[in-house]
Parts: sequence; C-alpha cells; structure tokens
Amino acid sequence: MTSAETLAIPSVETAKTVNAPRPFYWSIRRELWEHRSILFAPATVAAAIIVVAIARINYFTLLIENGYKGPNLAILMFLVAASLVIITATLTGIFYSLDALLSERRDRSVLFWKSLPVSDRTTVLSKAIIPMAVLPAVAFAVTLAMHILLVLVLSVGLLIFRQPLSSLWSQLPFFQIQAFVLYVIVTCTLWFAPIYGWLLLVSSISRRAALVWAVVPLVAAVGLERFAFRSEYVGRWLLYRLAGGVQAAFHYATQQHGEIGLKDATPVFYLASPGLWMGLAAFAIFVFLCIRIRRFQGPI
Amino acid sequence: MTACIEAQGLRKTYGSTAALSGVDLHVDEGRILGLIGPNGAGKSTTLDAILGLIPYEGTLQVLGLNPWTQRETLMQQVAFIADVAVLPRWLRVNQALDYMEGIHPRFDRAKAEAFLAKTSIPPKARVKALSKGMTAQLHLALVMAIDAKLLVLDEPTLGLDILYRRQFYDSLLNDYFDHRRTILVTTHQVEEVQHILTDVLFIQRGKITFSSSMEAFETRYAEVMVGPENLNAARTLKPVSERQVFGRSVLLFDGLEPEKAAALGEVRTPSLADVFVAMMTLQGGIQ
Repeated sequence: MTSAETLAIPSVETAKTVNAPRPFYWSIRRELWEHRSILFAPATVAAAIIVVAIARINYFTLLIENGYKGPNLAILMFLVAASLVIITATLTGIFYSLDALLSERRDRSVLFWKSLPVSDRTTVLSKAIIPMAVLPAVAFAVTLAMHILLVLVLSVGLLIFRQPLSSLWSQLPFFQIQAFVLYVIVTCTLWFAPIYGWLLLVSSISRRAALVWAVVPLVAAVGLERFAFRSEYVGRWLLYRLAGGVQAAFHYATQQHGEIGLKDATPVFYLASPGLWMGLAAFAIFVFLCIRIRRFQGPI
Repeated sequence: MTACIEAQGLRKTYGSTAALSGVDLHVDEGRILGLIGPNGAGKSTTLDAILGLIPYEGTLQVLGLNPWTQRETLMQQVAFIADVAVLPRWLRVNQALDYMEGIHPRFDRAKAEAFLAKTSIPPKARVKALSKGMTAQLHLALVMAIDAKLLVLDEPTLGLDILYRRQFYDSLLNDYFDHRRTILVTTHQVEEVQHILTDVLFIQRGKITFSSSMEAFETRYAEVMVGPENLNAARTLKPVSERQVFGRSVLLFDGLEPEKAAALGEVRTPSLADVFVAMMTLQGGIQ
C-alpha cells in the first residue's frame, strides 16, 4: 500500500456534530407549520381592517374629526378593531384545540411522531401552549401592528383632508390602549384555560366530529337539569365560565360616563377570584389526562 | 453478543381476541430479521410492542430498555418506518429536515440531504405533492440519517411499484446496514426480502412457529419434483407438503439428505415463500 492510498482511506468517524435537541421548541414550530391559521387568521382580519380603513378613509377621518368635539370615537374605533382580532384568535384557538390531538391520529402521522424521541408530555404541552400562549401573543402583536398602521393611515387621511393631526393624537391614549388590550388578552386567556383544556381532551378521545362531542354533553346537561330538576346551575356555571372572566377583571359601572378602559381594571379582584384558580387547576388536569391518553392512542 | 430484542411470554389481547399469545423472541445485534406471517397473525402487534406504542404482558427488553415506560429514550436509538402513508401531508421536505435536526440527537442532516439529492424530490415540496414512491424515499432518507441501533420496518414498501421496492431495499443494504445495526422487517413481499435477511421468523396466531437463520434455512429445506414412479417412496420420507405442478408432484422436505433427495427427482432450493405457504397451509394458518 502506498502512502497516497493510506491517506485516501477516510478517517474513522470524525467528531460528529452533536445537536442539542430542542424538542419542545420544534414541536411548537411543527404546530405552526401544520396549523397556519394560527398566524394567518388574526393577520388576515387585521389586514382586512386596514384595507377598510384605507378604502373609507374620508368616513373615518370625519369620525375622528367629530369625535374631537363629541364622544371619543377614536378609542372606540381602535378597540373594536382590536376586539375583532382577539375574537378571531380565540376562535382559531378553539378550532385548533379541537383538532390538535385528533388530526395526527386521523392522518396516521401519529406513527411518525411517535417513532421519534419526543415524549407524549412534550407533544401535548406544545399543543396546549398554542391557545394558551402562542395565539394570545400573536393576537397582541397583530393588534399592536394594526394599531400602528391605523394611526398612520388616519394621520395621512387627516393630512389629505387638511384636518389637524391633533384631533387624532390628542384623543388617542395609544400606550394605554395597548396596555388595556394586553390586560384583556391575558385575563381572558387564563380564564378560558379550562375550555381549551376540555377541547384538547375531547380531541384526544374522539374519533370524529370533535365539536359535537365537545358541545353536546354540556348542552345536554343544561337541558336535562332544566327538565329534571327545574334548576339551572349547570347553565349558570357555564355562563360564569364564559363571561365571568371579564366580570372579574373589570369593575364596570354602566351609569358611569365613558368607555370601559384600564381605569376599570380590577387585577387584584381577578387574581383573588376562585373561578380563575379552579379553572387553571381544571386545565392542568385536562392536560395531564391528554398526556396519559396519547400514550395509548394510535391511528384511527 | 448482546441481545437487541429480548422477549419472553409476550402477550396482548384486544377485548377477547388474543393478538399475541406468548411470543418469545431473541434477536442479536447485527441481524436482519424478517417477521413473516399471514394477515392478523400478530406481526404489527409485535412491532407495536417493541416500539412502545402499546402496553403488553410479559417481559420485553429492546436495547436493554422497557419500550412502554422508556419510549422516549428508546426512540433515540430506534428508527421506524410504517407503511408509506404516515408522513403528514402538510409537511414540507425542508421542514422535515429542520424538525428532525431539531429534535433528534442522532440525526445527521447532511446525510439525509445527500440521499435526497439522488432522488427527484423537490426540497420545498409538501408530502401531499409527492408520489407514493417519493414519500417512501423521503421517509427512508430521514430514517437512514439517524444513527440508530435498531431499524423497524412494518410493510415499508406496501403500495410501491417494483422499481421503488428494489431501490428501497438496495439503499437499505448498501447505504445503511453495517453489521452493527439490527433491522427488523415485516412484509408480505417475501420474495423481495429473502435475499437481504439473515434470519427469519414465522408468526402464526400470535405465536412464533418457526425460527431459523437463512444459512440454516437454505440447507435444511429441499423441494423435489418427483415423477409418478417415485411418488410412493417419496411420500414415506414425510414431506412437509405436496403440491401439483403441471401434473407432476412437488414435495417439500425438511432436513432430507441431499443424496436421497437427488434419487427421487429434480431438486431445487425452495424459496422462503414456498416454505411459508407450505407451513401455513399445513398448520391451518390461513383462515
């Protein structure tokens, strides 16, 4: 063997680059790849609002101009726009949760995911964090971006129609609005946690028609109670779960003048309300059950 | 030699039907084992148990780990391909690579990319845009880039045409198998895996009914085409099975001396499929 041949022999196992695995991070990325609506749905609604604002710029500048003299319409406009984005994100979260643990079984890809060194806990937690943290963060970021664009669009509009910019800027407490939006998003998300948990649980059990399985038992319970006991504890309890968050997060006296805002926030009362903590505990139990159930589940 | 898979009295029941009724298994490192059985014999259930996808009764150790309680750790060293349709349709090729690189400590992205470069798979295509054959190639590329000790294949070439099937097993042998890894494969296309196997197991009604290395298998069985004049003599030698081909009898013998066989008629080495069919028919395995 010549020396040249010796050299040509490849060295034994060069130091292999060791990946530091980040299964949780990549599992979340995976969810975003599969469910593109998580990013697109809120962004599309915000884009549509901007388009409407541009198309009807004369109408909105007039509103601002009138609001300068009368009731503050600028704040209202911004809050309505924000609530459309937040509602979209919430609905996206609801449908996401219903599908999260069902679609991988339906398309048999669960066999692929389970062939990889990612635990059921990591997988389920990465799915639970989508409605609990990712979507709220998306909703806030999109709202913020939309509000900034709205200010720009309206300012340009005011300039075009030769109105004073101060008519917008003086009646728009921009940062307070953002803080308010963030407060609403955080309080509602935490309050709705058991709803998302319930939907995830249904998606981990059901084989099809997850929405039906999620809703029918609750509706049936309300109906049965009303029919059998002529009481409506279940109904009230459900209503509390849906609307109680806002009630706990804000003290809003209707007779007071003005819009609901940060001044009405009652974070201490909210944090002290048992409904919040019981809901979070229920969420934890639902997620725990999802993890246990996924272990036994294969393709359907 | 270390055992890669060690199972004793493996049982699994679904409701009142027993999918596995006491499977004993010992697979050494560096083997290519074919697990062959009729539909519903318990092949997939065995694999599911080995992969930690289902709970079971009995003892089972894969690479020294308990698959049911230590699936996550086990899967760092085990790769698995089920039939072609398990890659999610929405996944893009480059996303698959990103994901594997991100979660798998033993995944070598360059290796997967090199393999993919030899195919006509577009790097940004979604799985749903790929043909069945391409999807199998993609899955194979992902799996071969994992430095795994055990590769489990469950009907990996189901629904692929002959070109892709050939290529699939050729790639596996040439680019992947290195005598330190172990491969466990189930398939119905027995003829196509025969030449790559080192060991074979027949499974029937939840039990292992036959186990042999391929070397032993090839010397053990003989198929003799017996003319009518020798038929009665041949039958006294206890053939495993007898069938008619073009009016002549073909008898399968287990452990018959070559001289005796040659005296009876034309001898050939039966294929795995021949022996499989003979044994399944003999034991009433085909329901």
